[in-house]
Amino acid sequence: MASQIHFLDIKGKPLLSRNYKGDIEPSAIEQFPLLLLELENGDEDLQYRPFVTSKGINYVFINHNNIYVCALTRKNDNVMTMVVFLLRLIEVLTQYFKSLEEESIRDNFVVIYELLDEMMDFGVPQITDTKILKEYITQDYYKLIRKTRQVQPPNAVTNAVSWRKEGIAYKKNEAFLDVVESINMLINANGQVLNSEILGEIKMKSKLSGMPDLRLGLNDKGIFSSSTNDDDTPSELGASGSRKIEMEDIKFHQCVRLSKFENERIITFIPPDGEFTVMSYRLLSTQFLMKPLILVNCKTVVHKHSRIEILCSVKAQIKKKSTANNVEIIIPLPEDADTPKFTSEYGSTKWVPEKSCMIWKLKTFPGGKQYHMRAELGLPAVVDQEMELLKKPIKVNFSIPYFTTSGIQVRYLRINEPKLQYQSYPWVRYITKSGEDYTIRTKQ
Amino acid sequence: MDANYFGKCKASELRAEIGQARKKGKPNARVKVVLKKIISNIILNKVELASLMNEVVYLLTLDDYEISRLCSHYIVHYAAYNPEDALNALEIYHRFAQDKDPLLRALSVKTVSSVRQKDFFRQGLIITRPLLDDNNPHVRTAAAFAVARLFHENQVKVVDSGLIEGLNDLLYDENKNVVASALAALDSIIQSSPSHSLNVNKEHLLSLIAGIGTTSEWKQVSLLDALMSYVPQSSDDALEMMDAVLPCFLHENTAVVLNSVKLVVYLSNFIASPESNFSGLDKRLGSALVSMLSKPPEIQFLVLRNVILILLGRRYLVDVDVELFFWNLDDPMYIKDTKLEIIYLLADEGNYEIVFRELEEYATDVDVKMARKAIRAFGNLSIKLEAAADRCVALLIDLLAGESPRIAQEAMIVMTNILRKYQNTYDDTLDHFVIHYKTMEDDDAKIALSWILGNYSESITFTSEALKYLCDTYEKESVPVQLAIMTAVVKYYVANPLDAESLVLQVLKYATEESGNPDLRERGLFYWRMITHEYNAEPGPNLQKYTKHVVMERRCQITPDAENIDPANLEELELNIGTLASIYLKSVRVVFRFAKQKSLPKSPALQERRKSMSSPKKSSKETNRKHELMRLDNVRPPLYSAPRSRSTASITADSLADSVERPSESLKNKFVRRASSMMGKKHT
Repeated sequence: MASQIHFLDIKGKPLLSRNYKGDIEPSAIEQFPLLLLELENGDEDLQYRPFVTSKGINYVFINHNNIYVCALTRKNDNVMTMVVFLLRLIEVLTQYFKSLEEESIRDNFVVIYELLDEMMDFGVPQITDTKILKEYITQDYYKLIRKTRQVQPPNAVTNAVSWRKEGIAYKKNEAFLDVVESINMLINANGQVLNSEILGEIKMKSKLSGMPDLRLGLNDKGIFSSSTNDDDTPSELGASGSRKIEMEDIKFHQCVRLSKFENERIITFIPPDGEFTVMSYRLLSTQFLMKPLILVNCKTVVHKHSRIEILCSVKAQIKKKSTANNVEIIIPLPEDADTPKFTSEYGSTKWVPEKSCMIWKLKTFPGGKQYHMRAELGLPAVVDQEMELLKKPIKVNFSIPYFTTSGIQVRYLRINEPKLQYQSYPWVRYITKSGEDYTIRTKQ
Repeated sequence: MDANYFGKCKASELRAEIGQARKKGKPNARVKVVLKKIISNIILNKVELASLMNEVVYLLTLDDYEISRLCSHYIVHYAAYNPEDALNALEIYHRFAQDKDPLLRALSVKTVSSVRQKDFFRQGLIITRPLLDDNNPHVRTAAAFAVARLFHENQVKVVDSGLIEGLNDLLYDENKNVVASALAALDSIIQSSPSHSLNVNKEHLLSLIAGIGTTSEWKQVSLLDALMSYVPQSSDDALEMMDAVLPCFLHENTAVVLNSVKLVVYLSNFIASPESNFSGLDKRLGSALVSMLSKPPEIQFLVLRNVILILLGRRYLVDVDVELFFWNLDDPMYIKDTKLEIIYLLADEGNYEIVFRELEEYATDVDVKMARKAIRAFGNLSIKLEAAADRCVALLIDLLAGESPRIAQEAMIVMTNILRKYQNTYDDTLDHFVIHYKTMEDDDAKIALSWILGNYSESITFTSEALKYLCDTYEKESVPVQLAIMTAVVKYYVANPLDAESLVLQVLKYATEESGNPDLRERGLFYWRMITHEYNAEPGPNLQKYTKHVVMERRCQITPDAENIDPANLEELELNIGTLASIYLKSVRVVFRFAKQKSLPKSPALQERRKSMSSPKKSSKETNRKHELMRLDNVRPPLYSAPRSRSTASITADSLADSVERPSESLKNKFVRRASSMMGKKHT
């Protein structure tokens, strides 16, 4: 339960503050710039952390677009709640003002005060749903003037379904599902997968009228063979032999009925209006990813004092029918390299000296194909320290449409609005892409 | 855009503007513009505007919610600077509290309770009571928080006015969201009041559990917190609750997930063997924790700190793979640091190969700071796992040979720790370490080198060269280094009088005659007297026999005590999962002096605390034996014994107090530092 929330500029100067309880002096935030300075100049043990204590006051803060959003408390409060709230606050304000930065805080201070009022009371988070908040806090006051007395207390807030208001109407009722899987993979120089994970998300954009009740069916492989099924003894698991997807860490949007899923393994929910993530999951099974989807083989030869040679080959180890799009291979180079010469079989290459790397781009990359690239760069004659930079891993970005690595599929999406009984159209798309951490180590 | 209204204004200008606006037929739009200007001056911190109180209070009466809202914001902020004029607003708020518009009623109770003035407080007591029974849930919620606000201003009067009972009644409200808000308000009251506590009975429990599925995410957080106040009377009771809570692991909001983790850990105190009663519980708990690691770093950090806490106390409840805590390329430093601690805790005989391969990668990290931490982790691991020591020493030798001198120095420091644990196992390899004596530049590294030279002078081929090198710059070293070198030289002299004589003379002469430092002189004189004493003068092999006896003491063993944490502390921290205390992993009282102490309630179902440690299926015989030994000091005090007295708690607090300034300091750092500071002293 935060006592105060502050927005501060990059130096720690307050931009806007809201006091929720009276138990901390408003001047306490004036310490913040000093604390920041201490964190930055501190020795090894006092390294940067988003939590600081000083004189009995705890500062919990997040840096976003060169501003700090900071919560203060004196008590041993639930700091997880505070951090999640701050992140949500940033999200809501970003949705309200397109982007949240110093300028937009000044431009919208009245709305921000109102939002802070509604989103939190006595330091306890209340509503953090932009859709609902927008129902009764708008930027445009003139709109409000016309219907002043119609502003109602947000019913949805205290209703059982707090994430959807009543009376939504669409001409055409549609629901779009996106199954997105991001692959994180660590590959050693010999092309072996050291570890890998799939981070999956089922996103939805709902344009549905009324209060529809949805039921999402996935193929058996997914959820239903989850290891939490109590009866499976280990021996049976081994004997079954079939490829079982062990879905770990499933997380659902707050609209999904968790106990229903827990007991019957059925996903049912009344969706919020617009875009949201129905569920996210993680698969940590190397069984799907025995080999890299995009394999990069890179040989580097360093001729000290003169030049560096890079020989790189890349292979798409995916089905022939599939195609990887926008493949980018980011190869780190020594900081002091110069005069690049590139020859690639396919795609374009670019040197980015400010990031000390080169990027090899392949717009489309059909499955099973392999391409080569050669690069040569000059090195200064003067001896530098060690070639430490070459230890940085190679990074790969890509996306593969119409394909999920885990094989998860949406079987059906049943939409039922008890009162309106309309015809509706569900759509499904699949895509696999590189996660934030698809890297290949270069050390031999 | 509000930016147009942003800027410093004088009170007189604004007063004139209000006057003008009021003259218009439809003043509302103009009034709002002025009010926004006023609000912007709150941000700019202009106290002068308090003089506008009368005007603003008048504006409250305009029939426009938006205006009332802006006015209220002004009044809350400036009432303290202009209390007399602010009183005029009370009557209006009293009227608002009975208005038919629920928004106004809520605004009234919110504003009045927020102004910290006596008269407002009194008014707050009056208007809040009926609003607790309002027919609109939104108003009831606002009233509930108003009670909490008023309570913090004057506890006695709020209790006397019956508001607490009113708040209590809200716990049976038909609307679960209101119930959750009332619980949150009560929670803050309980935290700061010694006489109040929350008791949840079975019947109420069921209704709260039912609420979890039907309320919004933030209300669920409050509900889960409230469930912590229920004391299970039997294991079945606890199991039933756990069953109801487990679905929350799947929630997208990490605050909900972590709170349900807290509840599950709490409940496991009342079940003899939770992991066998709930097959897959350990796996689910593990995956609930790990799944939160895909969130932003601030959240990750909190999760990781709590993972450490749970691993320390309930290793058997979580099934996680150490690989999940390996570094990602872009992890910020504080995440990497915490992950290292977890890797250390999770490493065991079964997985140390993988762990080592990974740490090896870190040890050659581009960032030298992190590399050093990784090397330290190596050292600690090899002290924890005997099987890993050989591998570690081999790796340290590699690191010494290569590249950065800073890494080489760290390796030297780590080696001393290993030597203290495995005293004579690595005598043959010491040459590989000492050969790099010229790269040691930091004080700690020089001390480490001296210590090795002194204790193992006979196993090392070029002790003499290395010591000579160190003595060349003896005068310029800092005192701790000088002390370490002196001790090393004396030890060398005892072992090999002929070679070392000139060195000893040089060092002792400087220490006793030239140095201005009393410690150095003191120790120099002490050695001097000892060496020249007649008992030690016996020629032949018995030369310096007694000196040897004094100087060459056996090194005291070190044990991986980083894993041991006071069980009482642990118990309290487990009740505080997800709170600020979990970041610091210190007794709550140390960080929050006035916090209420939490402890497990008495119940017939309460189980004895089990040893944490690695899950039984993985641990080998050897580790089991070790754990048996360590068990002695980790067993809970017998059940039903007299409650732990305050004094014990405060003793632990005091002993920890010296490190409060840097509460985050990792367990391991502390461990290493303590070890190296001991080294500095223990040489003699």
